[in-house]
Amino acid sequence: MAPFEWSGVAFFLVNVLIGAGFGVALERSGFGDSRRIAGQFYLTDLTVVRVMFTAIVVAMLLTLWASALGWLDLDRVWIDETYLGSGILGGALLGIGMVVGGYCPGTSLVATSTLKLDGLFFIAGLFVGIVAFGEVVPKFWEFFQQAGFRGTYTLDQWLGISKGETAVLVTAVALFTFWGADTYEAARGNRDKARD
Amino acid sequence: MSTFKTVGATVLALASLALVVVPQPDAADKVVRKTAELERALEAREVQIEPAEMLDLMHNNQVRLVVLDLRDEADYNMFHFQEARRVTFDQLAGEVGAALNPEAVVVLVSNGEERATQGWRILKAVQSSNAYILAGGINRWLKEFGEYSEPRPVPVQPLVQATDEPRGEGLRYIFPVALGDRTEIAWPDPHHLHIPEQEFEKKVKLNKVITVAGGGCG
Repeated sequence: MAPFEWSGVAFFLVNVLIGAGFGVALERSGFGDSRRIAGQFYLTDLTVVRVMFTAIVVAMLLTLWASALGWLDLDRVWIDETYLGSGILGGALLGIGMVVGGYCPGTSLVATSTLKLDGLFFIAGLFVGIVAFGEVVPKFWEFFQQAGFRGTYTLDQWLGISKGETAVLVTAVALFTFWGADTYEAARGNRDKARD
Repeated sequence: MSTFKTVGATVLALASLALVVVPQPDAADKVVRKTAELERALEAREVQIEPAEMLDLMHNNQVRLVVLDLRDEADYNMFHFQEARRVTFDQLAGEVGAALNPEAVVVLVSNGEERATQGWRILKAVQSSNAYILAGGINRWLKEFGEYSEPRPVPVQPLVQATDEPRGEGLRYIFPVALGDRTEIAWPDPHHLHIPEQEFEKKVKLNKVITVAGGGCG
């Protein structure tokens, strides 16, 4: 039963394998191409929402099933705390960066690993941004530390329903999104054909 | 929609619907599941740490050591570890347990092991702290390190056998006056007191809380 106690070489090996698997998944999904990521925002390519939402739903179901079967104690799993203000502001900035640059930090590494120069420049910009943030964050430290703090706040707590019911709701939204994406792309395809 | 998509969507839908029928474990379920695991660990003496390991922890600057003393006030006042906090079982199950740093190494002490073991069960049932029991309790600590104290603790009752390991809950050693932690063996310095290095089976595992800053695709 989790957690597994790895140390030394085994610990690093597990981390390397997980990281490598994640990189492979991103690259095979086409996220090493900035046009695919930017296309999500222009609604010309909906791969990002399909892949990410699938990953969310699969991970959610595996986690909850592992907990239900007693293989995983959710009390021992770290859940990021919620800071609404800095989350919304940071998310907005990240979104702008993704549209402008065509990458997020992880996918820029994927692109760089396949020798794409735009990925490399994105990483350079990333480091500039990190340093700049480090220099100015003291000026808004209180906001950064406390903005909209909610503690560990999960979707089921917010909705006031059980984790199982939340899983059904999230899965339903995901499946509807996938259907919507297919329908939209089919309609766009027909419209493009009609134009041609 | 392709067959692959249909099958995938069906699997996801069924897996999520089944979670409504198969509920998440509640506190009572967790206690039952944990109890078997806890008893196995107790029986195998995986969580009872030797006084030598306790001494090592006291001088390990990588460790946040928290000592919780489950004895009554009189015994606590007679002798207790430096910075040991006297707590009750209710406090362990309540505010004290909840406030414990998950990275801290918590050692529960009593005169023997009974109360410390009971406290350990409570603590482990309510939260996943990195908790241990001082093997033999304060009685064994005073038996092993008493000679380095000035004044020395005196046995309340002579031990019947040399191999008797006092695990019962009466305090077996007393000082001429109640010293609390005002004796060198409340937090002994092995170099200063010339305590010979002792070998022990290392049982304490350090918990490192792994936090993930951020998420998504990174």
